[in-house]
Amino acid sequence: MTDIQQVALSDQYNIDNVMFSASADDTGGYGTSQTEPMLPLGIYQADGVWYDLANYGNGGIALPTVKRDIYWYNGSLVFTNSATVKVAGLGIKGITYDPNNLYHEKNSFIESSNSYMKVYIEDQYTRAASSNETRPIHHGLGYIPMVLVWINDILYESAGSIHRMSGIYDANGNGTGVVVNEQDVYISTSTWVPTIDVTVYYKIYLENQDA
Amino acid sequence: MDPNNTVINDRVQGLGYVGNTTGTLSVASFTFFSGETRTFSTTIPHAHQEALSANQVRFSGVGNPALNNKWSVMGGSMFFRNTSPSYDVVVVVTRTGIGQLLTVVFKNPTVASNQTVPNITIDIKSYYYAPSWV
Repeated sequence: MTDIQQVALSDQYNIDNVMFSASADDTGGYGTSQTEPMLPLGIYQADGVWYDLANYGNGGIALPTVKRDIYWYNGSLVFTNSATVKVAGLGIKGITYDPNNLYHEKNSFIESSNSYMKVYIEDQYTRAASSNETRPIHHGLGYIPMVLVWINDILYESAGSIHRMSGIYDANGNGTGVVVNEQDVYISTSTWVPTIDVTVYYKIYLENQDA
Repeated sequence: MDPNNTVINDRVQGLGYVGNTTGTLSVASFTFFSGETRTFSTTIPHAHQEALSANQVRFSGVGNPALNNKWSVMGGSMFFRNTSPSYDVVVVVTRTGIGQLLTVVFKNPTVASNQTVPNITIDIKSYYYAPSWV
């Protein structure tokens, strides 16, 4: 860690917590004991190749030939084909989790040798059905921070699914995107109009992605 | 268990940063026909095969001011649609052993005549974080 500002701020803001982590071999789906929604983060392996979680969604461009998708749906981690899965779930602000329903692959203490991501702003909002917008989220940090964004119901438009969001196609070839600069994050869904209300979750971290 | 609780115990794990890598893909100007798809790819090395990753991409040279020279959020892929000339760009990042494959697809979605894509440079950053299994 080279940025002295990040050292100073690390005691003032929450460290992002991984609420859930697991690995599994399965075909056709993997159910967890989660009763609350999680924000997925992770990787998975299919046919010997590692993919980032939520790289592909239904209706996405067929690239590469092997297309997989993983998402949270009604409290379960679901994937569409045989794969080795390793995934972690981040908590959503405002939801209280029952520790008895959380599964951890192993218990471990925080490793002080790691530089943990520090949450600066986290929130959510609802984008109404049939709306068309680009929403700015002001952070004002003066540098380009790391940002994670999730959205539910964008691809399947069914309750309970949550996907990572960076650039996503829907079945009609329309897209959405998120960009960030030194002052704001812009969450754009201007070329895609949902037929139902969708929830957008975002976490803005203090880490400087341009450092 | 409250996700906003800053108390750290043995069942609440942080997301530890373990490293990053960068790469660039340059695409020279080209013209393609209605509905045609062009694919470009490059591989950038990394040594964190089983750590969590998050990628970001940045375009230089595109005509869309909302996206030019701005980093996307952390994620595995990125999409944008340019209107004049008319083309879509999809950037997909996958792992291939010890390495990271960046694939860029240009697709002409229109039924109009030929579309010419300008010179574009695509920068990528991959960040790696260690959960409990690493």
